[in-house]
Amino acid sequence: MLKVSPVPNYPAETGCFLRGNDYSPVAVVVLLNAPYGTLPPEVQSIPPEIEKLVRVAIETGAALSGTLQTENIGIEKIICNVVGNPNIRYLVLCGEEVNGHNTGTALKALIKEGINDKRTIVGSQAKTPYLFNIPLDAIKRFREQTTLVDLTREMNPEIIAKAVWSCYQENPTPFQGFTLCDPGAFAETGLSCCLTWRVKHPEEIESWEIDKEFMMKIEEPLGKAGGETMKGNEQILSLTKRLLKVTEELAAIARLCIEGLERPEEVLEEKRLEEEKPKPTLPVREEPLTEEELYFANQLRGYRGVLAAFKALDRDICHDGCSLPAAVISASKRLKNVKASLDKSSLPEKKKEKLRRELDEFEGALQGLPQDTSQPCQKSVGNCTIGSGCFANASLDLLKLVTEPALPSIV
Amino acid sequence: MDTYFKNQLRGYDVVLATLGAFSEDICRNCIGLSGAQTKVIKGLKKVRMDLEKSSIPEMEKEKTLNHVESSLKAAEGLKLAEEVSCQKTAAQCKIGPGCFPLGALELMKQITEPTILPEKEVTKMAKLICEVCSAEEAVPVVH
Repeated sequence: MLKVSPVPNYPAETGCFLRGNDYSPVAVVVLLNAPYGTLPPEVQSIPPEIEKLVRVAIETGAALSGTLQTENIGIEKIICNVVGNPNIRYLVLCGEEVNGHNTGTALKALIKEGINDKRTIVGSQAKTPYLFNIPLDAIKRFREQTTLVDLTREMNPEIIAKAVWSCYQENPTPFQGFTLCDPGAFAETGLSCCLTWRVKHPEEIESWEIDKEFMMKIEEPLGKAGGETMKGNEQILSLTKRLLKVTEELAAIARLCIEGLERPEEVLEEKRLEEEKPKPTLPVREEPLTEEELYFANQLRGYRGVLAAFKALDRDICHDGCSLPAAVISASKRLKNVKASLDKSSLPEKKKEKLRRELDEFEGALQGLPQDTSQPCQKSVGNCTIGSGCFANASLDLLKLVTEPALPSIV
Repeated sequence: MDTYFKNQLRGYDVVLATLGAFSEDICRNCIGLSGAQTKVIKGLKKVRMDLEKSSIPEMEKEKTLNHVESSLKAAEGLKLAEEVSCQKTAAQCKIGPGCFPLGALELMKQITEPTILPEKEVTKMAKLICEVCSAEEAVPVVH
């Protein structure tokens, strides 16, 4: 049976869990039903029956065993740690459902249905089942790599121990309607990933976006003006003035609504004109079919961005510097290599010709950019004050984003 | 202070040109480009807000504000499909784990100076001490 080593930084994410045998095929998730927002400060005082479940799982031979509370960051941490160890093929889910979070249903829905294009777990009843902070590849791998052994509401340590034991048997072993055995490591190598941001609500307003003066006005107590307490008529007058302002603003909104309703034809005309505006359409490109063709198509995509960046830099102080010319020369050399590879490739002549035309266009555009490296560096003459970085070099590095497919060996 | 705004706008000009080029390709349907656009718009709005609060001369301020506005317009005008999704997930983008729009956005990280953060009290004190002692060494960086 194939067993492999986990990725070097395994387990990539910290959390409330224990690490056992890295070659075990099972990880245990114990739902931690604690009041919303009480953890992690109270993580030291998790109920003893839950701690017992975590310990029993590890003592029986699980690879990882820990508690889970939140339906977003918590699940993301589990995914990071599981995909780092391809030996883990089962996820035993036990414990009482987490009130308010519905984390258990979220994890089950994730394995069953996955996520949608807004990175929300499909079919989850949780409040915020968003997985924004980990790569999509990791989520995909997690779903492919693991099978869920659903023991939600189960709190009996003996049953959890039996589940763990069944998962690492060499022969198929029946357990509560499942047939479990160790299938060996997942066919692909482990993924090393960790949480990038801690985003729970991506559209959240950032603190700098809030007008502080406006907030102060809201927070100012009704009974105070300029920090001084008002008395009697003063207070009533201030309140009335504010009410009058609100009324005026509401009236303005109402007027806008009435105008819209009174001249529906004009509004409809505006809407029609808006709809008639040409919508941006994606230029149709023939999809590359072979690895070889894809290699050249991807290179061209990279050059498109680099060239645009160079042109923008040429309109700025970089025009008189030495870094942009150096980057342009470097890009030209690389482009020549791509052309040479294209000539040697086994692509049909028609496709070669088409790609060659595009490469020639890029080469022509590069020739139109500065190439005199004898000009002074704009940092040394005091014009470029951005720090140690360099826009021209970083723009050229955009080409490094293309890592697949590798240059075909035939070329 | 003025240099801060100039550098930020230089950076956004390059980023916007690059994003514009990528929007002509499959990135137009991509959530990566949409995210980068949102980031650029937010960043430019922050620059505008800082600029309005700044004490740079009015004429210079107005000129820079015009630049910010035209960059904002360019950012809002980036071509994007009505519905976007990650093109790697849709199996359209096969360049590897990298992402062009996010890579373009990273160009802003080249700008490390000057920061707009207010000078720390400890730095001010260090400068004063150096002045009093007529020290010739540079003031140490305080983190």
